[in-house]
Amino acid sequence: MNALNSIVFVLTVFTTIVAADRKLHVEWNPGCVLEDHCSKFSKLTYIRADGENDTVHFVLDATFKPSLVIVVTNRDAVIQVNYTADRENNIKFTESPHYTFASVFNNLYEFNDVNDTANIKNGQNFIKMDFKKFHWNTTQSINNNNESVEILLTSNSYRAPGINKTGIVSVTLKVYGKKDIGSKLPHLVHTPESGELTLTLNNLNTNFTKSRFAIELLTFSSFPFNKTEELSSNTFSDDKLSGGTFLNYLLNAKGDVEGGGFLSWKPVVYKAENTHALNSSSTIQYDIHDYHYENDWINTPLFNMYGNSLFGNSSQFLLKSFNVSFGQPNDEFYAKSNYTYWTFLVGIGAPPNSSLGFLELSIIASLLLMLTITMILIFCIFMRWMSSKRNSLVYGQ
Amino acid sequence: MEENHPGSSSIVRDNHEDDCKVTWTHPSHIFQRLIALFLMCLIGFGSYFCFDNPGALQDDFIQDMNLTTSQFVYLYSWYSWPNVVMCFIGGFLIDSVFGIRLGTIIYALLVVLGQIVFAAGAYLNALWIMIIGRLIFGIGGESLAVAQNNYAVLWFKGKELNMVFGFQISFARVGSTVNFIVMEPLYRYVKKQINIPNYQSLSIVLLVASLTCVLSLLSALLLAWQDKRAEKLLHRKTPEATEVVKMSDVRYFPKVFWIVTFIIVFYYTSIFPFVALGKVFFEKKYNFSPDSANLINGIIYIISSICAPGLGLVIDKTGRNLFWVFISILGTLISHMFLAFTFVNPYIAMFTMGLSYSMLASALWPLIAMVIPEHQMGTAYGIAQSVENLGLAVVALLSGIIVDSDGYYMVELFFCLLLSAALLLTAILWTCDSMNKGILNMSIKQRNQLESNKPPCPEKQNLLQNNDITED
Repeated sequence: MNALNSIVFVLTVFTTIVAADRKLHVEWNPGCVLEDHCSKFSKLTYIRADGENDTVHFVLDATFKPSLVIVVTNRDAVIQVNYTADRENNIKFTESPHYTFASVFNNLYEFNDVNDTANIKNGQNFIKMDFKKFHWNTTQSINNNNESVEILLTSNSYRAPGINKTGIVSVTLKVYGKKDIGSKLPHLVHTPESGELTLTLNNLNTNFTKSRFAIELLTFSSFPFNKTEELSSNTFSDDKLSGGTFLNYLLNAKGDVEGGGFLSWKPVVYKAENTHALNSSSTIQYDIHDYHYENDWINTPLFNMYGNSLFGNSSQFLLKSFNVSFGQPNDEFYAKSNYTYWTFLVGIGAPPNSSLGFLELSIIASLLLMLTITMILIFCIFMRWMSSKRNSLVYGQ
Repeated sequence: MEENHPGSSSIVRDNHEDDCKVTWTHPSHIFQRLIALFLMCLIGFGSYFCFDNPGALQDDFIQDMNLTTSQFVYLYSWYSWPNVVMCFIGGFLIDSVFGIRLGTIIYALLVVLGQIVFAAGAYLNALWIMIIGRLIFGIGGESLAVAQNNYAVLWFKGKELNMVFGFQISFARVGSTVNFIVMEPLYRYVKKQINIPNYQSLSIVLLVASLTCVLSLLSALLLAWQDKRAEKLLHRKTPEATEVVKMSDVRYFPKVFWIVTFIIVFYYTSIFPFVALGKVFFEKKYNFSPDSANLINGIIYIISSICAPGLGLVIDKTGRNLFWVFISILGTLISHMFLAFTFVNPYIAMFTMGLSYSMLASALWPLIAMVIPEHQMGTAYGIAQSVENLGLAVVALLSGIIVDSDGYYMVELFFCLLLSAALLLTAILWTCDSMNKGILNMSIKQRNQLESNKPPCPEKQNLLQNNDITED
């Protein structure tokens, strides 16, 4: 019964916040008194998006594996981080969250695509790189009048025995306080309840001439929305925003009702900083699996929030993983440009849809107008022809 | 490549056969004429094959030479720009300056040269050189088609002329189709075999394609020799320059002519620029492989090469040109709408578009001949083709810019808009026609009745006595 009440409550909240603007506040290691001390243990960026009835909290953590946790609470709830306590349960909210959804960069894979299929299943000589072993730094934070926030995490070193990687790996988070579109292709449509995560692999040295990269993403979804997660794709005709891409993938955490978390992306990567259709290549996405490997979940801020309740048979959370590989056959592998840019949206509530722009509407309206006039003229011609036929029958002309 | 119509070609005197029996070596023997026909078809093959080389390798051009779509379409617009003028003077130069033999050889040479410069531009990764190549190619290509028509008239007038034109068009379409089928595999083969930068592989493929133009040039040389020999043996007189385009005639052209011209412009600008950009559209929207995308993109030409003669016959038997024009434009509009708004198997839309395109060519162009007197026909067709080329050059540029800035959906909407304008103009034309004598939409029976009832009239008088059909 409690669960049902919770569903009804959060649904009401989601309904009221649809397309409503939110005010953003950014904080680095929230609640930390001695910044130098906190920074040694924590690389936490916190964005608070206040709406009229509720608050959406974005927690971007780069302490271990780069992770974005999105939490919905009542409007007055405040995050509390205990930097001196053990990690387990040291991140709390003053009021219980209604819903939590998270996405975690778990592993980066390099594989030798000898047959140029771009499919990870046909790859050879896999090299697995744990995202927590990259040395992450928050290098840039842009706060645009509390209307949009951009956080950039970068790493230029990877520390693990036997794997020598140079180059820059970066993760960017962009959050908008109102419904908007991303500034670069594929121009994802944002809601205030979503954040755009971008992964960039710039100038990474490769072990093979036919190297391609893939990532393993983890997703977390809390009770009560989701019974399962499913990956679906839908096609759309208007590629104005996506520049020649007509497909969208949606990983939706939903159960009997809509409103859970989602990941949404276009199957396109860009092979140059200028994200233009001519620099594009594709992604391949793979099946979703249950993922209960504790060592990986412990290295995420979810462990700081939920502790050991993440694990075990009594766990009421959905812990999933899936892979995405970058590139398509005949695109000359990662080595062609030594650059890969992939972006996706993480959010809660109804996944955003793009709507027809003014120009499209104007063209369609003119088209319909011309067709209507044409049909009227043709009708007149037809009537005239009918009457002349009748006359010729009557008067024998 | 635009439609070319014999209406603009010069009138050539009939050649008389000897009554006596001729051997197969004699120019008036059917065997000799068949050889001439084959050579005439080959003359156009190279230019039609190479015209759509960029379209067949669109994504390769864009990636290998790091072009935007807006830059890529220069390769088409710079083909069209010179033909805004060449439509008038190409035929005139053949008739009055070079003569048909030398003229054909010069134009065939320009086509070869243009294609080689085009390939050199790819080798040097220099777009501006490629554009110059396409410009030279354009000057040669369109005029070569006029020369081809003139040869056909010279050799076949009063015999099998319509069939010969049919053969030439079908062969030209085969050239376009073969281009779409072979260029991509050829490019992949060269890329695999020769380890050079991709844009240089592209240039090698373009150079190989130029062999078809060389073949056309050889055909032009052989036909020139054959024609010279025929002229000697048949004592054929060199045709006089009978028809010079007179721009002053334009002021006498009725409004109907201009409406037809704009229908031509609006229609063809939704076809040729679409084919130029179609390959990547099919790859991106329908996830086709490059080979399959080329196949479906070239389906318009395949259907045209097969169905055009049959559909032409349908119009010959039924008349009702405006009705068929309306149906053709409507069919093309529906095809574009399917491509713009749906993910239904695109073969359905392209098949419909191919049929409509083939039908329209037979139904629309003769409308000009119905409203313009014979002595002004050359000027009228020249102007129609000139305006068409102007439209193609501008729309090709616009399409590239739209694809770059707003994507394929928007460019498809743009094509739908052009076709809606063509459809509206057709409806207006039909309305005007039906309010008058209905000449443009008569059945063959009605047309024959009109012809038989008509008193003998001076040659210069046209069906509408140079008045707009809107005026009584």
